[in-house]
Amino acid sequence: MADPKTKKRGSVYAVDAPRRTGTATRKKHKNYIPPDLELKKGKIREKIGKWFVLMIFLTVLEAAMDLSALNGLTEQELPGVILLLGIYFAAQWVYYFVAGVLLRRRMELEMAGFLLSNISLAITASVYPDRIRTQLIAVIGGILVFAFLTWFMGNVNRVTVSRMPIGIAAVGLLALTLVLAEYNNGAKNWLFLGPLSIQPSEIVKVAFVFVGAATLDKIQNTRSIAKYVVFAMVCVGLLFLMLDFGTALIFFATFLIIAFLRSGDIKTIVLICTAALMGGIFIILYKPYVASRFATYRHIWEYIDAGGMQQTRTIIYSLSGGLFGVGLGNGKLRNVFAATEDLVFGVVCEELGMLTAIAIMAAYVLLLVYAIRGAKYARSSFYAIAACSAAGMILFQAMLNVFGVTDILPFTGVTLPFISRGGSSMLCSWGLLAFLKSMDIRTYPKVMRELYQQKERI
Amino acid sequence: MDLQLLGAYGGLIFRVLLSVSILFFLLISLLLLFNRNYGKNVIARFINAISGETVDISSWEVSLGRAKTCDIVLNNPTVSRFHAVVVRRGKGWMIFDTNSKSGILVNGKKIDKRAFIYDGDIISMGTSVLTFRSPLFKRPQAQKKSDAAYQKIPAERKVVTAARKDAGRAISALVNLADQSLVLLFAEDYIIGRAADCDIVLPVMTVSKHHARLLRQGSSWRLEDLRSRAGTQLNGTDVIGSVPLRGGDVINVGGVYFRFIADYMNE
Repeated sequence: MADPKTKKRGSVYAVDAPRRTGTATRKKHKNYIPPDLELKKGKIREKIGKWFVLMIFLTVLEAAMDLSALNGLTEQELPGVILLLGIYFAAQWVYYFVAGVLLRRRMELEMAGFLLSNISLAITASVYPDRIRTQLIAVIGGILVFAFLTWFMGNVNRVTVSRMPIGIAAVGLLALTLVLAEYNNGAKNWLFLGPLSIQPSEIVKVAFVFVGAATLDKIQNTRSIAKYVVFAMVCVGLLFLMLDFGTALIFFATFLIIAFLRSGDIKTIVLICTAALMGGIFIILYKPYVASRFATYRHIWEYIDAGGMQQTRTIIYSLSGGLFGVGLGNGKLRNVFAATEDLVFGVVCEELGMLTAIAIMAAYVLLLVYAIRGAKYARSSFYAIAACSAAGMILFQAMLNVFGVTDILPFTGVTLPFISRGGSSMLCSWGLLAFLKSMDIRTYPKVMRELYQQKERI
Repeated sequence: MDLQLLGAYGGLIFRVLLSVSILFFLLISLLLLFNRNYGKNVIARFINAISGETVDISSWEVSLGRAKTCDIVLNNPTVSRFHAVVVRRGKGWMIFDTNSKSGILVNGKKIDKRAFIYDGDIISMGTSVLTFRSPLFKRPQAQKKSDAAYQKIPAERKVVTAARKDAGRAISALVNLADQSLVLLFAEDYIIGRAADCDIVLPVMTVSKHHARLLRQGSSWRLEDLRSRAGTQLNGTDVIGSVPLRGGDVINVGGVYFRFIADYMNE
């Protein structure tokens, strides 16, 4: 007998042979377990192999990037930086061992986060070798926040109970910042607590998504988003008073996403947008100092060495990077003010190349696509709304940053998620990533097990 | 590491490899997210107790109501537009009353805002009756004994036994499918309707003031429609004039369903 695979289509044998295409025939089996899962001690678990290979690949990739970042450091700085980067590698492997091997979780979101954070660390090590310690603490803190939030949101009851206190704490924190903070780069958004300096608006971003998302019984019970509108308006208003317009805009965009997902009503959204537009025009007309912040917008080449300096340099140096970049440490944009924070997109373009920059942008877009595609499989509308709005927030913030430094939108000085140097921003990025992680029921083996048990019985 | 050591071409190859690997890794790791190894699974079920129709539940949260945007649409004027939400949460399934007008009854008992529901529970919303099925979550046995619905029967049985002796015939009964309430037919003649002077009062707007009549003829019963607006149905067919009743018949009085029991003691 000839091998059935070698037979041509349409022959008698091919008709008789079981169809191998399509998953429908395989899924008919009662105790069917997908090939990348295994059943051990009655538990349905992820297989380790795939993630281990990817971790090795990730480590090699990061090591190559870090080695090129060390290019140009002095003899005194080198050992300290190498030690700190080594700690980051250890932290990743510890996380992998706990989450990937012991808890058998999938690692795709974390791995993307690890790589993006490593780009941030490599750029920091290369530009400001003395500040890498703070950045490393921020990244590890971010991973811990991610792990904590993923665990915390595993239980829906815990989430519903804690929404109100978190909302009150968020408004309180913003109000406290407005009272205590002093002007810094034209905005009043920094809190200095001894050696620690934090940007509370970044932490409130996570709380904003958390408070906005709600379970279906809550949504259907009140059928109005009045309470959340008040909360959102207070947050945006406080940010306006701090003159932190970029963050206020991010909050507003996220608010629109959440309002739409909760009400399902496009008319309400149009109404809110109209009101906001009118309010915005009113503020610009009667508060000239607000308008002055945007004076250089679309006129950067006229103020090439003054107000438009950062944007013009970003555009010029991004071009010189080409598709593959000039290599870490060889760029020129790094000498401009806020190169590793607001202008980090330009540094990535110049030193790591346009391809890397596109990869980073694609990652933000994929996160949102994943959130939208996965929403219908979520356990509760809370997770669906939270993940979509968190991914939307990340993408919108990235958009504001990238379009801001390239003068397509006004330059508002928001950070690029995961890539910019800054502790609060890094914590926020990992915190938002946790919403995507907790939406996926594969994160919680208990839930998966129940799914299969129910499927077998019914 | 000094990239100068690699030479001009070596440095370029290194940079090309690095940026391509970053792109490759980010795409691989994020596209793996879309590799979903489970689909939509039926995890619970509603069975319409009147029509026998089955509704599969494949998500953890479903909304029930008359509105078209609900996950399960109950086309019944006595059901509110957004009536209830059924969720899989904590130790089992829960039902939430989302400000409905007529409320929710679980096994004939009205619930306050929320309640746990278990496999086999009968849920009534307005005149709609659904049986909930989720074999993984059985009602705890201890709770079953203390439930008033299960203790009611012996007391009634005593009364029926006495009445049966007096009358010298079997006592028939009507069971309201919505709330599982029982009407024992001791007398000769019953008028069903919305008006207060009826023998069986149904405060439902689709029921006419004097809707239908039950009349005893010897040991059997006859059902008669009193020119009601919505009409009376016996086992799905309209009642014209008067028709005889048999045990197990389902009577529809303007959207309120009853099961007729010929001899209560034999049930």
